[in-house]
Amino acid sequence: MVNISGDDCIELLRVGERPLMKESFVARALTSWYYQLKILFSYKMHLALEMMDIILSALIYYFVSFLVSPQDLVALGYSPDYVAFSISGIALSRYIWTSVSRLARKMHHEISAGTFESLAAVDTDNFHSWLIGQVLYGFTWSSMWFIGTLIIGFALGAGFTSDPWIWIQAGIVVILVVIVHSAIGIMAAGMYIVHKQLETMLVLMSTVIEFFGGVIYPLSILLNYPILYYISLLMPFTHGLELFRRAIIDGTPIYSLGMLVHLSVLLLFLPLVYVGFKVFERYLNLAKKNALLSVY
Amino acid sequence: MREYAIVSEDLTKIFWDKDRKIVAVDHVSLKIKRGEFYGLLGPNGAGKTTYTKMLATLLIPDEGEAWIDGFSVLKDPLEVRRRIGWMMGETGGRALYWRLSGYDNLMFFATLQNVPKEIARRRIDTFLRFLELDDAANKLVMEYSTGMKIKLMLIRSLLHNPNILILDEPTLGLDVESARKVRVFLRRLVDELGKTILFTSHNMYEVEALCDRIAVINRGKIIFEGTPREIRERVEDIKIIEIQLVLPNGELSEVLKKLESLSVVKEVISHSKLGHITTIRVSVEDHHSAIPEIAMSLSSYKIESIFHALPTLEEAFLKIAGIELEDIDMYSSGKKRRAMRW
Repeated sequence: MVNISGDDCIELLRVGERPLMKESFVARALTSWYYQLKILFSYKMHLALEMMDIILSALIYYFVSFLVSPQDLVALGYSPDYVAFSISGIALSRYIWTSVSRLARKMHHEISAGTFESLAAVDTDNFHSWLIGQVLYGFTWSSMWFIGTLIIGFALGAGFTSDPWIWIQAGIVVILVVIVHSAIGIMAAGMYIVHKQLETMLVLMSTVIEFFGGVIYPLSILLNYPILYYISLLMPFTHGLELFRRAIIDGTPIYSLGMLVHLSVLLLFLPLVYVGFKVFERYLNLAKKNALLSVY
Repeated sequence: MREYAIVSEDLTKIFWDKDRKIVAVDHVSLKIKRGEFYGLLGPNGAGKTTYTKMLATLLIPDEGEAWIDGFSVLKDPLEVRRRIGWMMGETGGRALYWRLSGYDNLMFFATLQNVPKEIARRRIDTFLRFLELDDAANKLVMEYSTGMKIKLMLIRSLLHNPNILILDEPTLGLDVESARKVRVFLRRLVDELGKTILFTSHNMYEVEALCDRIAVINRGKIIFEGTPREIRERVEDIKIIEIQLVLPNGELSEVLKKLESLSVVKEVISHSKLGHITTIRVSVEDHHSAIPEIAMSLSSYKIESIFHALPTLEEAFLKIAGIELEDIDMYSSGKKRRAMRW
């Protein structure tokens, strides 16, 4: 190896004095995504455990399906296949939940490891590109979970539609749900910087999604409890799940009349993304005011 | 304003410990010229890091304002961050991703700082080789020693070629040879490329060798600002006599005892040996009367020279900051010495 002297370094920086660098938001976001995945893949045991979790969760609902009568599901307006019903709910809720919680967990990790201050020192866009990179990372990893769960569902005999056009529509629904929920993830990450209550926050969020989203029971059950039912309608996940389920189980197109209502409500939540970034910035400034960037 | 790279006016940061108000930085006003190597000294907890973090936009001040390269840290924090390279000290490499390699860490931060890939690659390769990290470039940072992590953090602060560097103890934890290399390089960045460096260190030798000007901060306030020579001249009431003599082996303790027994000597401050010459520094009340008396008491030894010396930067700093050596043995070269009573 040829030795490098201080002269070489000085010359390199002298050359570098020419006007630098077209800033690229996309490059920054993709870099954050790529290196985050690289870090994830260095945790081999963690990966193996998550794989096991996918299989066991699907099996639990497979066995629960023996307790649910198909007639009850039909009476509530769904197809009689509880395996398909629960697997689709579990797949989507875990998908969203894992992605949302991963961002808050990531923030916890960055702050406790001490890297968050370093990121803050080089941040040139109020963390927007970094957050997008982290969201992409969360959803990349969760997608593996999501697809894995659906495949196991297929293997267990869940009656999903085989119409590719419907699956494309279901994919669009998933993307919409992902975008809306990334806003919630970003807000949660911002809140973590200041409030530090990671576990409390995550338990609250997962409970709300599972309870009000109708993950393992049809929402129409809540009609007997009108307040809970109306609260559930305020949750974007409820509408996303309803669209997804009706599409992949019943083969209902998302542009059919009943589905358009849910789609419109879901679209109404899109501005949450802007709110998410603003909330994050606000918490970040609060953390800088109170010296909380490296406190966990 | 244009001639200054860093300006702060009444910069203040207050922390609260329950109901107790702690003024970490108390109305600090400094002006650091472009192309200046500026040292910020102070004991632990004096407010150095809080001050530099406000300049780096990692903390929002409670009062006052600061400008980096003409951009306000309050109104234009994004522009400020584009213009500075910041390296945090005393973290044991916490500021790096331990599960990424050294090379990946640098590439990641270079991209976040908008350095095009090709330029980043060239700079990373060159700096890694310069600081002899090239063999470890693809190892995970968790396998790095403290010194290696510090080198990596230093490289990271340079990748986007900022004009202003804020470096918190950049040589702490480096071996002697690496520290020397880094010092020479940092000085060249100032002299040859006109970069501005704001630098904190506990190593007085380093500060004296590198800094054009220094400020001493204690309890959040600037208590001195000037050149290293000015700080030494400032503490007129410290009167130091330096004695250089040739001592036979085993005689040193006898000589020290003799000196301590003299009424004109307040304190033996330090002693060292270089070649066959032993140098002893003592503080005295009045050097005019002390020199003949000391010379007389040591007349049985071969005295090479005895003279009134300026205090070292370390002695001057301790005096100005009002610290006793016992409390902060890190300021000495690691060897605990007796308390200096001024």
